[in-house]
Amino acid sequence: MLSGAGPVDAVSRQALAFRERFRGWGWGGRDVAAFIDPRAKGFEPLRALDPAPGDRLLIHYSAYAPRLRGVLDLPNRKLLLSHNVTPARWLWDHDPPIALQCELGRRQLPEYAARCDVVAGVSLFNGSELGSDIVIPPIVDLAWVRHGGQPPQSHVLFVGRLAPHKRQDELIRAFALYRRRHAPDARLVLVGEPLNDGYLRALQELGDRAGNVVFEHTLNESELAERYARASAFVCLSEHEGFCIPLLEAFAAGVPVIARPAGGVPETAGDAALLDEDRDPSVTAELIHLAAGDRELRDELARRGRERLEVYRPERAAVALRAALERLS
Amino acid sequence: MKPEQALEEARRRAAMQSGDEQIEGLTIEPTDRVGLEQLIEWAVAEPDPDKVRSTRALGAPITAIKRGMVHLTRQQTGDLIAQQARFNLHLLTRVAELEERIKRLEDTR
Repeated sequence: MLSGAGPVDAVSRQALAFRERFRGWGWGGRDVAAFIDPRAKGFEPLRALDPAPGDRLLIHYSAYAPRLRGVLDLPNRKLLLSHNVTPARWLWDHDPPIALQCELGRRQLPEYAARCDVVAGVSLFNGSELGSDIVIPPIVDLAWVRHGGQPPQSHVLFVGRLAPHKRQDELIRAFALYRRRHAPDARLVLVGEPLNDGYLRALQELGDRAGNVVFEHTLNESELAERYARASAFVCLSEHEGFCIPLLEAFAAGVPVIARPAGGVPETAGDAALLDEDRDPSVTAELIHLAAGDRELRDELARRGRERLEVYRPERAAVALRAALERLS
Repeated sequence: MKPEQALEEARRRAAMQSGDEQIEGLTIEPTDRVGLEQLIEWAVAEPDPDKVRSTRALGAPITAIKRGMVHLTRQQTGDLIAQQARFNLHLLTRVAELEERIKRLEDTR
């Protein structure tokens, strides 16, 4: 069960990846969502949910879900998987309706967790917010990601929703310094669905001041793979991440990662990223320069990235998923 | 260079830079404790008609219909917004008065 199913969001993708595993294990079932974006495929409306007495229910929690409340009253055993909810403090000024959803979602989450038999997080960071140490990491297929090697020009990349807590504003400012000091031809590529048109316009204006900033969204896998293959550094200054799948994508592409150690990022990145704990765009600009230009540093980060991918192999995540669900038996 | 050395090296190099001006424009601050001025600004809802749209394939005509409906119902929604704003603003005035009264009482203690 999801509160909302969309065409590109991480939670819907996870639900579909889980479904594939369930099929492989010979399990039945269906995926339902309280709200379904017309572009999303593979989901049925919540009213289609009609569990038999022995059925187990898996709730993907990532947003305010009042319509899922009725599910909590069902006698079936339930697992709640927290994908985390963005704190509203980042959104009140920029999108009040979404901020409200986040505020209510974060308030509602502990109540939902208390009424489920097993609670897990996609990271320990998410689980521990609810007092659980059960982790079901995302099942991520990275076969589409291409290894790019050393790109001829400096391309800085970030993949994530264009939203205040992702701090593309800080990245643009750091990139402007990097470009001015070290690489006038450098390009910053920001891939992500905008929060809303107004926020996109504000970011674009900032990008115009920095120069060579490109905004893209709704890319297919082949296009996204090309962006990773061209990147000389992946920079994530996000203030809140439950897991951050794009870090794994960057590791798979062999791209050095610079990331702010916020939320679940340190746990996902391990020692394979340069963790930028300073809030100084000047330092970030120098880190980009080092990551893009220091061969030894790039090679070592690529090696560690490959090791990190071993930790998050889909087979391992599937074992964790099955083990958590079997706790419901 | 080892990854463990990179941050310190970046700090050292950043400290050697001077005269770098930050670009102006969008700045983001998380909203933790909302002040009264901000609450007053928020008290009067001003929905942006551009946010009314459809995400369906070939959604342009649906968007046009939705926006047309918003336009046609503006008397009703305008009245609703005005009534809500009246309540919000009066409530905020009361809150401001109470804050002032508490402050006065604390000062005289």
